[in-house]
Amino acid sequence: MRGKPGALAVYAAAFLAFLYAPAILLPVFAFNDSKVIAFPLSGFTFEWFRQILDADSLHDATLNSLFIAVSTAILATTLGTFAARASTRYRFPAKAGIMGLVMTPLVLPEIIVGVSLLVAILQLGIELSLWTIVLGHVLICTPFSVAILGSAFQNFDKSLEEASIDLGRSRFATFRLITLPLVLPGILASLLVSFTISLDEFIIAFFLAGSEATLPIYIWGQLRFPQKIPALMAVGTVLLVASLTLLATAEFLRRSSIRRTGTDAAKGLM
Amino acid sequence: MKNAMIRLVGIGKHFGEIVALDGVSAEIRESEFFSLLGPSGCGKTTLLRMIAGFDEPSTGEIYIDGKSMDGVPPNRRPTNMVFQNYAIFPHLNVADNVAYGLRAQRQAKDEIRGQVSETLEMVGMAGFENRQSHALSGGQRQRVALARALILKPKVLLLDEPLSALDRQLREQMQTELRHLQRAVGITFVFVTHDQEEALTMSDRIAVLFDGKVAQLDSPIELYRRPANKRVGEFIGVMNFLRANLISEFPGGYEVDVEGLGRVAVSMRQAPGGASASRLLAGIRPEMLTLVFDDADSSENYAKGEVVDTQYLGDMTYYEIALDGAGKTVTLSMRNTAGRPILAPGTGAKVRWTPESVLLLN
Repeated sequence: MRGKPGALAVYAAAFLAFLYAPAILLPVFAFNDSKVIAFPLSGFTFEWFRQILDADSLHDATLNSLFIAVSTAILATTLGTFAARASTRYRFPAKAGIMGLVMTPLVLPEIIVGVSLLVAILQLGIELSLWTIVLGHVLICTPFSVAILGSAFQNFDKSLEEASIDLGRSRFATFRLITLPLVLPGILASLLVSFTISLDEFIIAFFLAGSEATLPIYIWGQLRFPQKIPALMAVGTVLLVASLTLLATAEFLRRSSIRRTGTDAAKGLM
Repeated sequence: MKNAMIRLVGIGKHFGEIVALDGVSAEIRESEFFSLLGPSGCGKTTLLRMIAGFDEPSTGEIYIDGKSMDGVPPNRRPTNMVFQNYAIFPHLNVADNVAYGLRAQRQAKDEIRGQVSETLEMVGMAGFENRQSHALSGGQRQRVALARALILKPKVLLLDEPLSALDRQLREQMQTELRHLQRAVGITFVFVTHDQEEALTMSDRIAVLFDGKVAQLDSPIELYRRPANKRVGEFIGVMNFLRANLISEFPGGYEVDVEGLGRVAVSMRQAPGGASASRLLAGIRPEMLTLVFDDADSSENYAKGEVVDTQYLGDMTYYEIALDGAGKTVTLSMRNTAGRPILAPGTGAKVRWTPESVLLLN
């Protein structure tokens, strides 16, 4: 392996550049004083960020997306907690099959999920709204939540719960005082991952949206107008900073939890 | 005799087709250090978990301090448990771990703090209150687990192989400490272990469990001296087994012909299972056989043989000796007192025995 460090280093650098260069272009053009997305750069401006502040439909779409992402994160994590606990703690008939069905949306093409959900919802006579998007997003986020929390519960030593009950606590007090604090990093990880997936999900949202657009749908719609593209670059920059902040927060929480408990409840997922 | 603290009446447990416990009955006395000893899978941990209330027996009933424990959950039982891996709460420090049970009882804060430091001092962990639990060593975790259980002053303390994770030196130290602690607090200890040496050194009485049944319940001395059958004899310490044939029964005992030893008169006391079968086993401990170095020794009960193997352990020497007329070798141990020679393999050996040291087993 030590024979060609040069070639490997070049490969690694090229790989990283290819992966991240487009993301770096976002902030570059967001501050560029030109309606055309092209080099050479012509000057520095806050104009595009000012446009963001004025765009009411963008604000509505953002609020819609935040509403959907928060609802999805909470619902998917709640369902994921139940499923993960059931699969790691209890034995029941057809467990493998049921867990398989829960995890399947992870590998189903989203366009298939979107189309079939749309058909089912229309057949049931339910009106399309933000809630129908939440429904679709919960479906695809729950498997991630189950995977994250499954590993958190797997690492969780069952005798800790038994010790708590043995020391005179009720089952509910045990869950509150022992189980919850110890799987909390896993729950936070699941909330963040579900939130992020839901926030930028386009296909299912596109199929299940009623009259109200989400942020990705709004961005897609704006691409038809070349003069709006610099403002989209600014939106992208804000999103980039926001996701990096979220990721850093999640990592900070995970490390402080390792320091606190000596165990890693969200092992290998962040 | 002290009162029964725990009464186990015909306890059975099956998981589907597998029988974990089969009609176990026993009485565990007040303030007793009681061990459940057996190989892994014998049902000893299942039995302990039933006393704690984590498992329900399929049949039979458990009484603690005279009350039936039928349907009583673990948090309402007068028992506390020290888990095999200690189950120290990783997100709480030492003081919060130890105070965990007391806080459920809503006592005053100062009262709790006082009891915590008192209990920590009792287990030799004074001053460790603010230590984070993941910064504790194995022995310290063990002490915290003990303190956490003992602070509630349970009637029974249950210990699930608590020493198995410690290294040898620490284990021996903890054995002594646990014994002292038990005497000091006077609480009934029920101790699960697969280590016969550990059970012998610590217990007042031991129940030996094989395949979900009590094979023998006795004091360590009785258990070692008079195991109820071959399996118990093998499990506890080392025992030689020689084939024996019943010759006759006389008042107070049996006369048998033991391979390698010849005719032996065994008293009733030394035949715990009687001598119903004609083919029996004579059990004899290695330290009950003695090498005779003095040719002039005129004692009657000796057998001749040849040293096959010599194991020198410093204070002791273990010999494998092929007795004339015996199908297999016997193990013999000699203390290495001053001037006593060590025999090399291949030398002839003269082995003395006494009828009192021969057990008759079915």
